[in-house]
Amino acid sequence: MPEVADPRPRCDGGLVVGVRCSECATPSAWVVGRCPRCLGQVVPESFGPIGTVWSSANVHVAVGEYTPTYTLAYVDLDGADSIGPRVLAHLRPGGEVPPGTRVEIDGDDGGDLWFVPAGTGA
Amino acid sequence: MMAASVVISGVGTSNFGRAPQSRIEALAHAAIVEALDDARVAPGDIDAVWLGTVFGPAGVANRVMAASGLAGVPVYSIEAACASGTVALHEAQAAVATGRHRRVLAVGVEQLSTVFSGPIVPEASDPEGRTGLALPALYALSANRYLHDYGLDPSVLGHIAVKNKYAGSLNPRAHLGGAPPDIDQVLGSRAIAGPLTLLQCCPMSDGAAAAVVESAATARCDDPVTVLSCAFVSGTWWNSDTSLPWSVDTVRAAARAAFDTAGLTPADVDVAELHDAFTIGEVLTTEALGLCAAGTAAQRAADGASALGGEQPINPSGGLLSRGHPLGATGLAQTAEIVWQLRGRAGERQVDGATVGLVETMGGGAAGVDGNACVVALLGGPG
Repeated sequence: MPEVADPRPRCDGGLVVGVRCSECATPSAWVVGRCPRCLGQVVPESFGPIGTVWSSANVHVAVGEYTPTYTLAYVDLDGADSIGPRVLAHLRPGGEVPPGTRVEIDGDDGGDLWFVPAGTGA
Repeated sequence: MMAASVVISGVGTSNFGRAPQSRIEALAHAAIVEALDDARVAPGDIDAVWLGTVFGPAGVANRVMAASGLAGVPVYSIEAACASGTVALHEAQAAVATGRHRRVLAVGVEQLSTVFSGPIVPEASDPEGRTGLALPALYALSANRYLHDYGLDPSVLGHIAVKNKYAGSLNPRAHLGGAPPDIDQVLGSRAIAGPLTLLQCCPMSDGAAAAVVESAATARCDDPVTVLSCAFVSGTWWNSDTSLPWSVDTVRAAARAAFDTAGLTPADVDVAELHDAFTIGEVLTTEALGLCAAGTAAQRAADGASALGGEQPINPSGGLLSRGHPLGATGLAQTAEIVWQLRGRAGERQVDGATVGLVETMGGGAAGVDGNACVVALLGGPG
C-alpha cells in the first residue's frame, strides 16, 4: 500500500478508541472533533472489547498485501451504555461465523483490528 | 417535478472487453459517433457534455471531446463510482428539463486494463480499503448477511449468473459472450469471496457509452425515448444502527423518488437493467426497487420470472456479469440497452412489447456510507 495516513480504527488498552456524539448519540471509531454524522459536539468513548458480528466472509484472492485466505467481518462493538460503531476487522482463526456471533478484540497489530470468538482472547 | 418533454434521442456504445491497445479517446469516439448518428445530430448541435469516469487519466474529458468534434463546448466531469455514467445522464436530463441547455450529451468511459493488472486495488486512504476490503468481499459480506436473514442456501445466488450469462450470450457487444454456463459451472468456478465464485463476479472491462438528451420538441430521430423520471441519491451514514446490507436503503430512496415522480409502480416496469456487478447485487437491488418480495429475487431468476421471456425480464443485456463493468461507462451502457429495448431494436434479446424500462446503477465502496451514489431512471417507449 502507498504511504498515506492510516485511516483504520485504533486500539488502546484492548478497546477501540473513538467518540460519541452528545447530540445524535452516533458512535464513531474515528477520533474527530465533531460528529461525522451531524457535526454535533462529541465526547471520547472507548468501545468493546466485545462485539457482535454483522457479517463475515472469507476472501480467496490476493488484495494488495493481503494473501488468501483471510476472513473479514463487520463487527458492531459494544459501547458503555449503548451500541458502539460498526468496524471492519479481521477474524482469527480464519473462517466465516454466523451473523450474531459474539467476538472480542484481540489487538490491532499496529494496523488491522483483529477479533477472536468471545471468551477465547488473551 | 420532471418535465415530461425530455427525451433520449440517440445512444451508442463501444464493444466491451479488454482493450489496452486502444486509446481511451477511441473507445469514447465509437460510442459518441453512434449516439450522434442515432439522434441525427452533428457535433455542432451539442450544447454541453457530462462525462462520467472513475479512473480516467487527468484531462480525459477534454481529450475525448477534442477527439470527437466537441471541443469548445462546456464539459463537466462526474465521478460517482460505478454510477458515474448514470449520474452524468441525470445531470444531462436535468440541464434540459430546466432549460439550461437545449441538447446535450452524456458520456461514460473507462479503460481499466491500463490501470490495474488484476482486480481493482482498494483505496489505501479509506479505512475499509486499507483493511483489505476489495469490492468482491464487500458484496460477499452483504451476501452472507442476506442468506442468513432469509435462511437461503448460497447456491441460490448462482441462478442470477446463469440467467444473465445466457442473455449475454445473445449480446454481440458483451465482454463475456460464448456458450453460457450452467448452474454447476457457476457454482464450481473458483471461489472469490464468501459465497461468490468467479462466474458470479463481473469482469474487468474497458468501454464507453453515450446518450444524446434533448427536448422532445427538438428531437430529429423517429423514435425518441422519454425520460419519465430520473432520481439521484447519495448514501447516508451506514453504521451499527441498521441491520440492512449497505445500499438497500439508498436504492429504496432513489426508487421511491423515481416512481413517485413518474406516477408509476414497480409493476409497471416491463424491463430493467440493474447493477449486477456481483450476483448478490442484482438480488438486493431487485428487492430494494420493489420488483419482487424480499428474499425471492434469486429464486425468481431460477424460475425464469426475471429471465428473457419471463414476466419481468431483468438485465436482458447480460448485465455487468456479461457485458462487463467499465465503471464510468456502465450506467450509460445500461441506458442504451433500455433505449434499444423500448424501440424494439434489441434483436435476439428483445423483450416483446416493452413500453416502460428502468435503469438502476449503484456506486459504492466508500467506508461508512450506504453507497456512494444511486440513480434510478424510468424511461418510456416512443409512441
